[in-house]
Amino acid sequence: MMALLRKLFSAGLVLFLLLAICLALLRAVPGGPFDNERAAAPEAQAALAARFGTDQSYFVQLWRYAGAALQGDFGPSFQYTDFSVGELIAQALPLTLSIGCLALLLAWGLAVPIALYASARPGSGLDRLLRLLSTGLLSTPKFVSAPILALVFAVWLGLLPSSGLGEPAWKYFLLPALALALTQFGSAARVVRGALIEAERSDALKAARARGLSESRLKWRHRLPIALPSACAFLLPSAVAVLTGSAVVEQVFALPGLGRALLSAALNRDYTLLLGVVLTCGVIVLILAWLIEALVLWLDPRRRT
Amino acid sequence: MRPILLLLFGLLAYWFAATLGHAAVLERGNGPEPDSLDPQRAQGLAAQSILRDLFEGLTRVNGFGEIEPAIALSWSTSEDGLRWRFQLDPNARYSDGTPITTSDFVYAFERALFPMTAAPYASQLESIVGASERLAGQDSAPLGVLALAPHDLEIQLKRPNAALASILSLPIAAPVQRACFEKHGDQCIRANRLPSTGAYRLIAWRPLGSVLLEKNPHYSSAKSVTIERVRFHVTEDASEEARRFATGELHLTETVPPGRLAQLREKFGNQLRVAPSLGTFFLGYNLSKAPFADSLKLREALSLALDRDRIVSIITGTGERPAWGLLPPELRASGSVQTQETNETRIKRAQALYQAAGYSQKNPLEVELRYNTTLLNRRLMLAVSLMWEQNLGVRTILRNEEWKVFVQNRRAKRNTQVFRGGWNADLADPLNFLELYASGSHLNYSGYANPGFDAELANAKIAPDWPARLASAERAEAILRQDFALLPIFHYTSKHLVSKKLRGFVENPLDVHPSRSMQLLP
Repeated sequence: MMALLRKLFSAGLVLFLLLAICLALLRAVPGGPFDNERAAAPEAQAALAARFGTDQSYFVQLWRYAGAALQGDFGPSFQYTDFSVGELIAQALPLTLSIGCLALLLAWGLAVPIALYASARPGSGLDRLLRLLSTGLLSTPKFVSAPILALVFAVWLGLLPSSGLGEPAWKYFLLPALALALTQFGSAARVVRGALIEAERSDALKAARARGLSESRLKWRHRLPIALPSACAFLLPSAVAVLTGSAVVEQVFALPGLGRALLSAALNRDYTLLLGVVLTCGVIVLILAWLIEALVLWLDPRRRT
Repeated sequence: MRPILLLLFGLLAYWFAATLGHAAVLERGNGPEPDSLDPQRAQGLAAQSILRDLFEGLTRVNGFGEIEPAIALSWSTSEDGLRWRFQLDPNARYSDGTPITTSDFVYAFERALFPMTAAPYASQLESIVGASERLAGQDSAPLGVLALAPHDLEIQLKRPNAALASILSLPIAAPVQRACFEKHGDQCIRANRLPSTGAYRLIAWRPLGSVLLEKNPHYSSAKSVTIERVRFHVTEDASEEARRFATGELHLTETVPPGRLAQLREKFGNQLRVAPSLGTFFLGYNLSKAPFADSLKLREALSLALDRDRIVSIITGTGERPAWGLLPPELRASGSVQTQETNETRIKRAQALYQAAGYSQKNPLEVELRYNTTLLNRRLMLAVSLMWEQNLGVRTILRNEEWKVFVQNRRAKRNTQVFRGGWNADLADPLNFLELYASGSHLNYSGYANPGFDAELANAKIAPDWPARLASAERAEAILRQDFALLPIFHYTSKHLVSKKLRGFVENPLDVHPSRSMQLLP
């Protein structure tokens, strides 16, 4: 119980610091939320500042925002005045999570079996190809791979929609998820391969092999369970990379997700929306960290102590 | 055999339904996410496009860009031009079926002029009696919008305004239903809740994604509206928008990717529609500081040293017209401002003026040219700086800034020397441009102040009719040109990709294209 409370307290502290730093940075950045091509009249500017509380000091703003956020109220959006930030996030979050999960599934679902096969024969043709492929994919930025995917699958082949969101939704999710998955496949394949080769050298595997177990049994029942905990530890950075990468991919594919909302908020100096998205991402990362920690502990009972 | 036949029949039915479904929805690219769909609060062009489908006021803009009666069936004006009386259509209904009456107009105008609404277009209504007082916070000031009877509305002006019919076509002047706003507050602006007065009603809104409208069954001219549904897509990137057009996902784009006209024509054929629009790209000077505050000769020299023909043919390349004045030719009774000088004589004159202003090759002008970062702006500013350097020897420091930083600096007038300017008209009214240089205007980023110009602008405002307004506006613009208060470069064009399936799209200078005036072929 105490451990849980400690975790919750440290999570709250992390989120508050995140909020305080983001608000300070936002206020320090030149250009205000109401600076537009057609500047509003001074009276309108004053009315907007009073309505959104931007005429208050940093500490008053931080205190008010943190208090409201604790009650789940992120306030109204500065830029999209018809919506509250909560409504904007509620619409964007499921899309980003769906694409992110699909990307992780694609990346890890392909990386694990391929790495398992390649690592069994280090230096073989397949192993070399995997290393080459993963390096290539890792070094290809998403803003390059995403338009290429759209060009090939939407414009040339006409198999999938090029961007936007429509019905059925899965058709619109595939290309963005693939764009996110490509980089993650590259890194996941390298990590899993490394962990499997490491497992090959472990005493436990040597002992299992000495017992005369078949290669297939060794592979699935011994090598993989030994390698998985350390490979799974990489799931967190992988998920975080997917979350941050969604900003680029959602922009390229014109998807109304959290990443696009974040970019729009930053460019428009939409303080409330930006803080809301950052806090949401912070909460997601914390939850993922806990889940992955629990998964690693479940996979490797030795670490529980 | 029977299952195969059934399968074939099913496939045919699916194809037919899919074809019908696609034909009924007009897919429009619309630029960025609309800032609001509240007619009184919206500002951006993206919002205005959608609002023109959702809301109509006393007047409206038709598919040719002309003003025509909408909810007002007719109107009359008093002899002194200070009282406008409108007869409303007794059959006019909101999309929820409730009648539209004059009290809705009174509520909408009061709302637009309430300071906390912070309506960006509120200044357009300032000729109405009591409008300025209301905007200044005097809530009890009598407002010159009177509901004489449920369908008899009077608008009282403090000065004649020949552009009033145009102003009343703006979304800010559209009626809104008091009951909805009193019950739901800002949450009235929601899909399937917002009572609209135009040809369409709001049925879905996915922020940063799309806005879906459906034909308003209570619209008075509903029979003439052939497109059942319109989806406005958020398209922030022109290349992505063109890609969606190429794959058939869009019928109409908001713009086209940058490129030369010939290349675009080759790629898109006659689906590319380019037309002159009411907009001017110019450079502004900070006239509140040296070196431009008191140096008319320098400003003239910099203007003469630019070869606008080369800029529009090489840099912009999509049909833009060279500009020598702020007003587009469509808003001038005497047509476009032309120069009779050849490029060579103009440059010689520019060099003489440059020297007379105290500058030379040995003592060159060093100037900062500030602009917001876009590919086109970068190319334009580079061309401007090269022409100044080649023709006069000016040393230009190019400062590109992120959008919000740029607009803040431009407004503050502290760091700027020469800056990127530009204006697209809200109305087909020359004053919409000229008020940028009125000495008290908050949009006057140059700090220009000339009592002669202000007086001529005031004359234009109170002109009793349109020809008199245009004549005064031209005189005011002539003063701006004599003062070289700005450096006009070109007049904008509107650029769209229009699907062969879409009929009724008519290019017009206002670049307004109501969905109700278009038809979509299956």
